[in-house]
Amino acid sequence: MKSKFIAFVLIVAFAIMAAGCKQPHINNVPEQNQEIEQFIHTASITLNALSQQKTAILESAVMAKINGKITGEELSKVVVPCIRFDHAFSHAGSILLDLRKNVDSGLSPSTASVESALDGLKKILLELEK
Amino acid sequence: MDFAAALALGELVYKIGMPAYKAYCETNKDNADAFTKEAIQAVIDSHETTEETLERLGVDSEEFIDLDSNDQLG
Repeated sequence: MKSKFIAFVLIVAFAIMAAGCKQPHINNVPEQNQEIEQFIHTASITLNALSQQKTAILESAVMAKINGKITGEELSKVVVPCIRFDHAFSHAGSILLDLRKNVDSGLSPSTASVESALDGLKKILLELEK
Repeated sequence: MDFAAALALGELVYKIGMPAYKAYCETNKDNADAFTKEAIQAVIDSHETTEETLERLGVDSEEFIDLDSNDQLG
């Protein structure tokens, strides 16, 4: 039992470490800007994936409603969070674009950029909590 | 296993494991192009709003938008 637990912990630790070093190396970017470029890269991909997942979930819910598997009330329980996601997506997109413009204009990946991203994230969380 | 032995084992695993971990990261590192302003704008533009999805599927979105604003007021 104990050895199984240790093996489990080791597997989880290895999986976390393997995932942790999966950040891509961004081409043609100086080493000091790698971190901010990786953040922009990961955030953009995540945002796109979330958007597609939201659409897929909404489509499934509408099809279920059309096929009579769920009621209009149940569909609204899916639609309302989707509308909130749209608002959050819009905030996140504009923050990411601002960050990109700041980095492109030659500003160092400064605390100000990180703070603006954090401010944006707070707004998104507040939006999602409504 | 007593505490000292566990500590020594942990230290040994760390000493052997860290260079191996760094080598693993180095060999498995993916290369990617930076996300340009245009690429981010494309992500934003490709987002289909809930209203658009509902319209595409022939569902009247008005009632749900009312529901959302009522909910936010409450």
